[in-house]
Amino acid sequence: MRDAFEALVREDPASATYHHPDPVSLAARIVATGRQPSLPGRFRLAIAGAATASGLVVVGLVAALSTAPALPQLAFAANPTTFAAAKTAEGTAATAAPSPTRPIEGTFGPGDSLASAYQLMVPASGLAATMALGDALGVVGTIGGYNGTVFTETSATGARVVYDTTTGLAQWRFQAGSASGPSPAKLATAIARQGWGYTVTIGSTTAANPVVVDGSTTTLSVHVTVRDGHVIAATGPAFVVAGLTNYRLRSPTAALAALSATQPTTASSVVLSWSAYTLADHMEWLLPTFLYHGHSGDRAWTGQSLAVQTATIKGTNG
Amino acid sequence: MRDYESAVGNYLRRRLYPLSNADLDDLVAETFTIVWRRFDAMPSDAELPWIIGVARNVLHNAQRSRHRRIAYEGAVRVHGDSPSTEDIVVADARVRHALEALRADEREVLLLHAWDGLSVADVARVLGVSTDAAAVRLSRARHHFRTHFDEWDES
Repeated sequence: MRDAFEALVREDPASATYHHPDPVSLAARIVATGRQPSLPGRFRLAIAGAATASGLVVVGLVAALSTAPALPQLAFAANPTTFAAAKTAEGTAATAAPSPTRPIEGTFGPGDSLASAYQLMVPASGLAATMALGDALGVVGTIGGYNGTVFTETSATGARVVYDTTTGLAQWRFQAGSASGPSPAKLATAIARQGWGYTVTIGSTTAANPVVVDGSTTTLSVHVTVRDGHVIAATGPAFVVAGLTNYRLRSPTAALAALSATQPTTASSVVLSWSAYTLADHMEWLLPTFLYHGHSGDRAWTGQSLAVQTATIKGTNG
Repeated sequence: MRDYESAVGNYLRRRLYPLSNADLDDLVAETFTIVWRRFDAMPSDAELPWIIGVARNVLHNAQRSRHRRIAYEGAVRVHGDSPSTEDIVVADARVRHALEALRADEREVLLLHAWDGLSVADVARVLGVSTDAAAVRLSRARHHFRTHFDEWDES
């Protein structure tokens, strides 16, 4: 039994340690939405510590031009607390007083920069996408499927490609089975040949490699497991860019200056990026976000905020 | 919270892989929101299995919501089993074969023990069964897993 059980343990797909990328927002969401009972012991201390820290952090960094023509009315399907959206009036810089249970929110006026939002579509044929990926990676064999939303192709050696549309954004997966997998460079080439609307650079180590759309880095990634120079497993998104909308934003540089000027903390960098969101009509969008890093005293923090105006995002469809 | 964040995140990742990072983070947040709301109900001597049990319910709710959404969209779909996590992410064909051959309840108890590292008593708390019942299930699951694992070697 030992060999079988040890083999099972080795295949743990979550062997790396998980950490929420934004513990401050996580703590703020928990204490803002949940009942707050009397808490004994260390759990209370952990929450209180995180919540106090959240009072020092700007979680809203929003800019848009109210008169911008033809901005689409979008609505989030998911709980809006998954992103930090400012609630204050548009076009003004505003902050709330620090509180142990409520993060500071800021709204920043429009600037001269234009950022793009991309509507994403699922590739037209899941079966064709599966076979194309299989061909590119040398996986040729039995075609299978589940529920009409997941397609698989499995070779005689156990190598497999999977194309899955059951999650919000379609995903592809590859596993090498008992055969030797492709090199990281070959995988990157195979992805580029799929017509999925993005590129990715894959290094020689196990890592999450950021997806690049139209020259812009996103928070999406292609996860690759590499052993002995070969890819043994990989997964990433699959989409076609179907629409483009421009939003007028304050530049990251101006946002960084505003952050540092108005908050009792120091933001060391703010980078404009793009994150995938599912909207109320089930459409997927890559929306501009600011990723920021900084510190408050000796405590480092990171954050992610939508960079489009809250009112524009909510619209009437939600 | 930080003590259990990794355990909860990895529990969810193992069973709904590959969620997008945003989806995974959202389920983790939902889990701890419920933990916070129901904090008075958490047993002081079994915090982790109780929290894993909450994550298990959050996961099931998310899967049901996804199924309702698919139905709402009115797409014509062939009914059948959904792909399991291990079917998708396990690279070792012997392990994959053995896991696929297990019943869902056997697979769940085995992976709670092997991947999530829970003791038999903690597995019992997650599943809401007696320790004896969990021990029997785990023993049976290990036996079946080994049988199917060895089958692959012989084939």
